[in-house]
Amino acid sequence: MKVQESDYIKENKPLFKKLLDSLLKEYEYASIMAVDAFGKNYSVSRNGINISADSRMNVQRGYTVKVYSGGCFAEYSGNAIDEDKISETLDIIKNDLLRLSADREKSQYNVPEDEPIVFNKSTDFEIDPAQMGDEAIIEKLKKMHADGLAKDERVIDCITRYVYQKYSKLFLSPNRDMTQNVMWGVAAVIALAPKGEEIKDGYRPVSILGGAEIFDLVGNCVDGAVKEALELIDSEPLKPGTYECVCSPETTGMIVHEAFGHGVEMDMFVKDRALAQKYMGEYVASPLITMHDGNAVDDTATYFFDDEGTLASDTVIIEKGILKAGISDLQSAGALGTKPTGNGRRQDYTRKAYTRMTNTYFEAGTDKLEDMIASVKDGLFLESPSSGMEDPKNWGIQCMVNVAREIKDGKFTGKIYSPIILTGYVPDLLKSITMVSDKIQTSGSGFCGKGHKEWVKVSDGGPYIKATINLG
Amino acid sequence: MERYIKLLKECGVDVWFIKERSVLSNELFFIKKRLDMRRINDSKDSVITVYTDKDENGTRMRGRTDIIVAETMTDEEIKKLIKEAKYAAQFSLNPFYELPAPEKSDCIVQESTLNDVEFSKIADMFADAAYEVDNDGESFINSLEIFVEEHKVHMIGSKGTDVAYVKRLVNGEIITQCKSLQDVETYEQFAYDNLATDDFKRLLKNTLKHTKDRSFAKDKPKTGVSDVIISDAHMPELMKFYFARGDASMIYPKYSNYEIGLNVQGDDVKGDRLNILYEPEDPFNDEGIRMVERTFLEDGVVKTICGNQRLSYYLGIPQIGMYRKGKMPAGSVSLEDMKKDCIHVVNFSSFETSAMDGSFRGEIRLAYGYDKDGNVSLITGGSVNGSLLKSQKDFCFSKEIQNLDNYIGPVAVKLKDVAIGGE
Repeated sequence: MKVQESDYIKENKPLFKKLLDSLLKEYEYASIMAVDAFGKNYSVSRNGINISADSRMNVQRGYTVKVYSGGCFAEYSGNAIDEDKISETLDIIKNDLLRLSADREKSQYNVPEDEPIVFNKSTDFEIDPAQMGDEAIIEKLKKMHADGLAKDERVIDCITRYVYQKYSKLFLSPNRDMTQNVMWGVAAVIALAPKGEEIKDGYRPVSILGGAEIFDLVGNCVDGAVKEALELIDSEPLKPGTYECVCSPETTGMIVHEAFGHGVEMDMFVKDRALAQKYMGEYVASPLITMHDGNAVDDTATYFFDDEGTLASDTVIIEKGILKAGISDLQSAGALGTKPTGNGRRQDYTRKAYTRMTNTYFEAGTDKLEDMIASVKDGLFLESPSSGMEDPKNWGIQCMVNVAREIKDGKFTGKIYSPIILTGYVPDLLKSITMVSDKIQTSGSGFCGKGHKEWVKVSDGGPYIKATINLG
Repeated sequence: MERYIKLLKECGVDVWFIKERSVLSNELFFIKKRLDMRRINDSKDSVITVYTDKDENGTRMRGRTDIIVAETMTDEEIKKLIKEAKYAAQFSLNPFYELPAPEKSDCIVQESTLNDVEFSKIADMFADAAYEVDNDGESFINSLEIFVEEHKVHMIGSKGTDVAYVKRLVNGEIITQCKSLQDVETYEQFAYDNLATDDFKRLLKNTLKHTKDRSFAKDKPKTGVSDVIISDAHMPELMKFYFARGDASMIYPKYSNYEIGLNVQGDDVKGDRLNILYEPEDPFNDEGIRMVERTFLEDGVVKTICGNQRLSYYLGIPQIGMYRKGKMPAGSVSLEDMKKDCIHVVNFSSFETSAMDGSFRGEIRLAYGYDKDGNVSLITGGSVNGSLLKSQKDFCFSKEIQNLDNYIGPVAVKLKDVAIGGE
């Protein structure tokens, strides 16, 4: 089934068109991005049962107006729209917005290209969470919660969660009239087990571009989360050093996203904040590595157009180890004289658009996981990534993983180290990749920040990779 | 608000809470010295909480669901959402809990020097302050984002709560760059609830200096164990562990063993004892509870547990709301005197503390290494990976105090024997 367009977008489109027409009488270029998003969070834990639809990350209704005036851009965002509001918005833009910091020197841009595009597209789903109903969803989460607690008396909690968002976005510019209707979901299990005053956690998420059919994918999540939490009770701190490592697809995803992806966001090129700009056309990774960002896979960050009305695309960032391209928003592409790649994304309608990743991953290789493990003489298997931080300027790595399993002579010893911090220089890590498995997995369970703010839904992943990594 | 109350009654909802919130913001985005984008955001919506009470096998239960509604929604749309929330609340049933005693108050304008100036001028005042100190020549502002916000909040509850407040704040991020020896940058966030342009200038001067020093830094630390100084904006991140452990949401499910009277640092403490006051960030929390200064830890002993209304009720503690801002007294050693035989990390890629296991970790972007005689070397790269559960026995807090939006207290703490990853 296709995700339906929201009534709000449908019914108010004539008003947004009228607002755009009024803006275009005064400004050389203007655009409007309107959004109507609804979603729900469900959770069951020892803390209780929760159903809410109060997170602005999931529930939002409003619009952003972009105007081009005096060679630069300015934006107004709000959520009231009616006939009276049209003239009020025009007044605010003219008398307040364009007078803000009016005397300062401003960046100069050309009018954006605006080739005609008209469409209304939707993603697919099998089961509508709203149709499935709150009762059935909570019952599924309650059962998973109970199953997790019953597995071992050392488990003090088994938090089960489901969140979905269904959104419609409308983009209007002089020549574009596009609507997209998208639904994604994430389900997760977090098992907790104490080790003295410390609480060890095992985490297993799944994500989907779709609806409540995600519950068909959660099969092993409870077992996996509980097993990991219990194993971590016996974990030890790792002696810092350089190790031969095999990374799980989730860990590969974090390396792809945090270590390299942020560095090819081209608004960083405009600011002279990205080392990648100087390495275009050069080897930055092993020839085994090809890296993508975009809509070639279906996951939580798949869409048809970005928040500035640029069509989504599949950008090949690294091809066989050579850095080929970055990703960009409309304004950055304008500053750099390149074609925007459809990566201009907003946290919500109240925020500015920045260059942001979508679904970012390494392509599959040809190796088998068992061969990769067998090839490790003295090393670690890294899994359960928890967080990471970008360093586009200097390509420093900071990624955290929860589990490092010891491998000796090609076999797991059963010993686990935690927590682990990956450090070092990004190209050193990427060039050290010697094996790449033959299947990829992506996961869109998290949100990505720019610096420490501007959270957007992303997915990342790839194959199992074997590399040499500094661990602390 | 009257409209929402009427619609709630029409839907048969007897117990409810409404939080109406509006934000007006002026935003400036700079690249180098040029203004790259201006924005105004003017948005308003309301969070409506719908409660449903039910008897389940003889036990009184209470369910709740929250929804967001916008003024531009039609009555029919809002009623549909309320009815759905009322239905959903039947399936989010938890043991019954009383709502907190109602508060009533005229609209409180949060005291701030930001109220003394015209709203539309504030962003420019901070931009002027930034560029006034951007005169080093080698180290300079790469980019700057300034957000000036005015928040208006009005909360009404079916039990009689009717409170409101207005507050202004300034926040943003700044990136400084230096190309002297190596091309490097430093990222800093800022947040002020006053017209703190002098504090902002000080932050920027320090950031410019750190960036220049990082440009000359080449060496990783030696792998092993070292005393480490954590300072400035990393202090509230470190102390966040105690706030999380002292919250009902971690105590009720037994993730945390905190209880009134617990000595959280244990008996064999050789260093400074923890003294933390809970400080109000807003006049009222999201549940309409008045926020006031309270003692959280006194000489390491828990004096107050905070948390949301439901979990506080279950724990049988006063419903005082959740606190995220802390105030700590000055320590006894100056930051300068701490700088011996240790590593002082002034900039991490990201510094994180886990509420679950007390671990703290981060990749070093710039640190100053001090030998026994106080001689200094520049460090970049490598990592810090420690545990507060071990380090809390030997805290050494600085005499110097800093005043951040979420923390008032020592500028720095020295931690013993922290694992260092490097060469």
